Amino acid sequence: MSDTAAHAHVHRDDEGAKIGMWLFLFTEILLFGGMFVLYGLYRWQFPEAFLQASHKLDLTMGTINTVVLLASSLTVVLAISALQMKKTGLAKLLLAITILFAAVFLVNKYFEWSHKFDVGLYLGSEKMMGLDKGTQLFYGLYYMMTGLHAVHIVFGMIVLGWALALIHSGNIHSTYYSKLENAGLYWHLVDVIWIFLFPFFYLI
Amino acid sequence: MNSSHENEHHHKPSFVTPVVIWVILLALTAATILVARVDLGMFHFAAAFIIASIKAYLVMAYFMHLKYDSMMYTWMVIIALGMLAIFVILPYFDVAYRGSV
Repeated sequence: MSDTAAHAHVHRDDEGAKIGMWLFLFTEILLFGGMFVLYGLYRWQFPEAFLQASHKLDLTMGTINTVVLLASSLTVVLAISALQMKKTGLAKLLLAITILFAAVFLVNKYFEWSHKFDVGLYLGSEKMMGLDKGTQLFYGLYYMMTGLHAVHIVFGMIVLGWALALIHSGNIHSTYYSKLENAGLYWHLVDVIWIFLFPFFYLI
Repeated sequence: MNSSHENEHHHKPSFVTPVVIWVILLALTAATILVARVDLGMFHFAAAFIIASIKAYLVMAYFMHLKYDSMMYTWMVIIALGMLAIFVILPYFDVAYRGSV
């Protein structure tokens, strides 16, 4: 195979790339971890306010987004499997579906947030400033944590789109796909963070 | 990270396992919503946290490949999560013994 000959001259360290990706993911875990610490401490101080405010979030929207993100995690895994089986077309289709799911998540988030904004529940609003301290903190954490998570979704769409382009141009293929795997690792972490955000905000 | 483990193909690609894991993840999502409706008192938060942890484990073990990769990655994750646990729990030794602010 010409691939083997070409790779003999190219520096390639898939294992190193993967370790690097995991180390980056740990910094992400700590970034969100800091916010979870804040969430835990304020929840400890204002249990009743957190409970009441949590019931006012849109559980249907939250559930739909949970299902959408889980499905998008599945399609990334299936895309990698398809590529390993040399089904390049299917791999590209599955990645495109993943990006579509990510977009659906953001559209849902947009509607969820704009509804909250419509009823005057945004940070610093007159209505918000009139609420008790615990409720204000709950909404502050809600906007900050799900907002930062949404930024990660946008970044994930860019990374997955980049991987899709590389498959299209033949730079990611059935024997060289560590870039796709690492893009997938990032995407799964975004899913894992949502797995905790969902019950902490919508279900407490 | 022995050379025998550096081959990416030691785990056969499959469509079936990921789909099965996904179905379990959906079932756990349904379970966590149903459990939240039941009044469990002080175990309310614990139940949500435990189910979320099982879901996170499944995603990390199967989708993020920790189950199939070298143990080194699992140890890296355990150490990172151990640090996070210290970071999350330690502040309560301050907050719990302090009057309300």
